[in-house]
Amino acid sequence: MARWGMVIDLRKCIGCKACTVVCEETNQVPPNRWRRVNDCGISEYPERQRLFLPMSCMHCGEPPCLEVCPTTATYRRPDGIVDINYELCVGCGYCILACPYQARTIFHDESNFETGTKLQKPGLADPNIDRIGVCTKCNFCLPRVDAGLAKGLQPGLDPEASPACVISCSANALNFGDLDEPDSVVSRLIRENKTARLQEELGTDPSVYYIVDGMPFLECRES
Amino acid sequence: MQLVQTGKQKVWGWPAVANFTLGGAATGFYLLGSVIVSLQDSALAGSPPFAFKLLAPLLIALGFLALTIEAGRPLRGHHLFRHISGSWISLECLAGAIFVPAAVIDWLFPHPVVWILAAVAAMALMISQGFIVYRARAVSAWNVPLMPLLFVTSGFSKGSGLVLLSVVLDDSAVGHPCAMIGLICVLLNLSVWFLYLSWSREATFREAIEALRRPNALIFTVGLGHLLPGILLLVILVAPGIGIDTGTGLWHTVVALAGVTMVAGGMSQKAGIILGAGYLRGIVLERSKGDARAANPAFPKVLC
Repeated sequence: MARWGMVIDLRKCIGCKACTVVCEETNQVPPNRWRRVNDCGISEYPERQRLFLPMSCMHCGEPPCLEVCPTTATYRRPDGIVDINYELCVGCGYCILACPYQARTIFHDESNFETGTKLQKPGLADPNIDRIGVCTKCNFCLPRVDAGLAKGLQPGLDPEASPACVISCSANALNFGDLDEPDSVVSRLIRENKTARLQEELGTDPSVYYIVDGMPFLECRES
Repeated sequence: MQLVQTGKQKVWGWPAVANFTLGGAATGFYLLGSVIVSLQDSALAGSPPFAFKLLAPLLIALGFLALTIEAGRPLRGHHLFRHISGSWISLECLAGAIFVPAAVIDWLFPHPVVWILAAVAAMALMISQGFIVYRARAVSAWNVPLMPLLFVTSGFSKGSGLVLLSVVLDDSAVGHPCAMIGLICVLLNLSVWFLYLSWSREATFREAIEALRRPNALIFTVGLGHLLPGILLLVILVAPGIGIDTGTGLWHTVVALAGVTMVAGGMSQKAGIILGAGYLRGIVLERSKGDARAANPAFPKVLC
């Protein structure tokens, strides 16, 4: 069984936020909720560097959100994708406070999924009604991945089977694939580059890796 | 290296504070009330405060009701029992679901088995609330192993405050032992509170609890919640020696004031933890522990 994961090359990311825009459109979510690009920088001379840090759900191997969820709405698939069963979620918000990546969010009924502006409460016919008042997050474009696999496509290699953010990345900084497959693109990138993961010390075993080669100011260590 | 700085959590607000305050106070009230009742025939003379048998489940129910304001889909509450083995919220709900009817049944038809069931559920609820906060790993000031103990001592402190209030309302003659129990609870909670405030030297923790260490916060949490009731409880204990007779208006006033300040102080403590110290962890891209900038003063500053 595959373990889907992502490798993000921080040297390539230019902060265009195309990934966040396509995420909003594909998943019908307000801006910067499921996916965001943090604009970070180093201020002191001589480093003076700017760094863009794309973030979403890390699809952890040991997800703190799953552990605390009282309704078992949050679950982890055998392929490593952490998803939410909206029918079970009560919107208690506990998983948001357990996730150290700030990857989860609750949409309240006044939010317009596409623009984020406040609108009237949606009617029952609204296609997003099942996602209102419950916790939501990135699911690696699970419907695309599953549909692609059903067609015999390879996620990470075939655009139709890959997350929308990956195929829309203008700098080709985002890579998707099977972490357990030694010959996959992501495994090769991890093997050939110095990588790090976020909040490593918390022991969550995230499936998203960051290439940090050539960034001594990060003082990163190999994962 | 911390790349994204901390921000305050906005998920749990006053309803959560109300739940944690009422849950701790009510379970402490029930357990201490039970202890006093069980000692009635031996150590204590006079009528014990019976109000706890009905008031405690009522307060617990109010606490859960407050959470329905905050939850996105409160009508799906029955799903909350699906993860008893892993989630402390599930365990809290189960404990509450057992405690409320058991306490009410024990009030209507007192029976030792029902009372034990209610007492065990009350203890489980009190402990689970501390673990709920502790397991919130995104919040550095909550993810502290001391949190369950802090919640337990806080619950007993507030509970003993309610016991004192019920002494006044019931006009019970057990003020002296109740004051002694209250003083022990207040001192225990004060000790754990100071231990919590100095728990870690980690930069993220220190920044998160900075608001709790400010003088204006300490006035409420320590001054109102511990020092003032501590002094009042001492006055109650030595009342006959300083000319305040038990059962007089002044004695009742002192007892009531001690009870009110203990409950109010406990509430300010919970509000401080949930609202004041509820900062999310910064995003760190490294495996080393602690703040690299603190370890190396020459380390570059991050702008996000």
